[in-house]
Amino acid sequence: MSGAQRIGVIFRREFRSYFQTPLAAVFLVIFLFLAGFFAFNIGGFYDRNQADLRPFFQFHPWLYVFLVPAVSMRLWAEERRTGTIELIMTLPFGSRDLVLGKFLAAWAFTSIALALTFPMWITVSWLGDPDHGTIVVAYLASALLGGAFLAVGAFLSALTKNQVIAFVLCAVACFVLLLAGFPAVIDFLRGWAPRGVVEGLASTSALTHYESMMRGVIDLRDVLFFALVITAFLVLNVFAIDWKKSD
Amino acid sequence: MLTLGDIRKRFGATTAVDGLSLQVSAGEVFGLLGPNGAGKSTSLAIATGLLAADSGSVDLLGLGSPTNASVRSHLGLAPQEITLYAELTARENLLFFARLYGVANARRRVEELLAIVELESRANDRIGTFSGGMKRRLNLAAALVHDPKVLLLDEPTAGVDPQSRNRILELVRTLARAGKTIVYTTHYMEEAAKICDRVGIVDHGRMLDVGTVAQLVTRHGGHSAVTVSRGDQDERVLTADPVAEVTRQFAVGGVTGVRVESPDLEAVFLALTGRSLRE
Ligand SMILES: Nc1ncnc2c1ncn2[C@@H]1O[C@H](COP(=O)(O)OP(=O)(O)O)[C@@H](O)[C@H]1O
Ligand SMILES: [Mg+2]
Repeated sequence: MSGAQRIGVIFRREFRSYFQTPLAAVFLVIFLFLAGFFAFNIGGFYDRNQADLRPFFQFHPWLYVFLVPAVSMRLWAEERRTGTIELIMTLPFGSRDLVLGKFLAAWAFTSIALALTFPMWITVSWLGDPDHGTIVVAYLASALLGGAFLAVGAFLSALTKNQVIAFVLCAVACFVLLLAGFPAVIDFLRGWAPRGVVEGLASTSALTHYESMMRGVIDLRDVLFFALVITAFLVLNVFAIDWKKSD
Repeated sequence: MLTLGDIRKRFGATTAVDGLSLQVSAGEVFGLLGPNGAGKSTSLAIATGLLAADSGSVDLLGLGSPTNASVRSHLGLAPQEITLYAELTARENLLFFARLYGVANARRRVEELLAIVELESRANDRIGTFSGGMKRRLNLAAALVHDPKVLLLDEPTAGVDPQSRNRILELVRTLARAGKTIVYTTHYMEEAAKICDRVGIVDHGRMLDVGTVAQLVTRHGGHSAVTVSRGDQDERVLTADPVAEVTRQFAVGGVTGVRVESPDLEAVFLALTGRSLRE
């Protein structure tokens, strides 16, 4: 049996499990409601007289800070709580496939939530003549950002049995990952810190990369940034699982 | 087959396993008998590579430590807690593990196992709806999906009804006859006496003695009690050789009844630890 097949088996069980609890429904409703609410009420979707989805995408990072931890907190914590981790850790292969299968299932789930916002796209196309390329890239950026947050959250979920702690840790970590490039922080530093530090910090910020992609340009550095964050935290996740095992 | 050499494990201030060694031979049912907290589960977790011992060695089949995935594939574990997915059906649970073990023809194997543990009629029910005994049997089936050479069964009859318990004991016997090497932990001495070829008595993380039930009883059981009745007069005699005592009593004459109580594992445990196994 190949690693890919195993990942597939793990993916399917994990993905299905979302729909066997109210979690999926609650998550989808809250995500779709908030995404719409922010876009229309705070982003001034209609008032801008511009046919694009900027006001919609611009709130995704803040939505994800609270919603992604709700998905990621249970990834490992739940297996620890129910004890199933004991059995899956005695399977005769390394934890890499488990980590990947679970992460991909969670990512598929949040990506589906994101995809379900397509009526926004239809609406904006009906109202005006948006740049569809920009919208596609923005969707990609949003999916990548969600993936990066999930990878962070999955790692943190591997460290604790307590889902509440996993949630809080993940929310804080994602917030920090975003905030590193928050305009206020950057502007504040720009006044006195060396240019290298400011740019370094801005480039480790998920927000900077996300906003750069939201403009509709695929810059390899932005994609690489998210790929790097995801990979790094998945590797950490493997270490965390190997270290804690079923403890 | 499975060797633990002088393993030690502490959790903070608690010493869970304190220099425990054991050697399980091919094809035997080895019982680990000890009260709750004796260190049985921790020892099994170390034997499967789930937990790293602070010191000591583990070897499976002469292949080395089960922390190595290929060594681990010869091992089947049925943990003390039910470790199945409550939201999946019995069949889905077994299929999940069979597929992950890369079992060829996983579907057929799963049907076979469902038959072995007599759960075919409930195969499509979510196990969240199962009784304790049914979950136990399925937990055991999950340890068997890849047909491992060595089985570690951690208190497989904990919290089950008498009927399920008998089925589980019968299944363990069948597996033993089929040539599996089995480590069976329990705090029920009747079970250990019934199904184990050899028993190790564990307490406070230490192996106090190992042997067949008969050997342990001879070594530590102490005297048998012979109660001789003459009319409505009972006389109770403690003796190492009950046969000789009964013969002697008959020679004296007038015996209307005889009862012999042989020491059992309970007496062995009491002698070794000064405590009763039953708490
Ligand atoms: N993960 C753990 N953390 C802290 N203490 C533990 C842990 N696992 C077991 N122990 C302690 O180690 C001792 C042995 O436990 P265990 O191996 O479960 O015994 P048994 O299976 O014989 O009942 C107990 O005192 C238990 O409280
Ligand atoms: Mg135990």
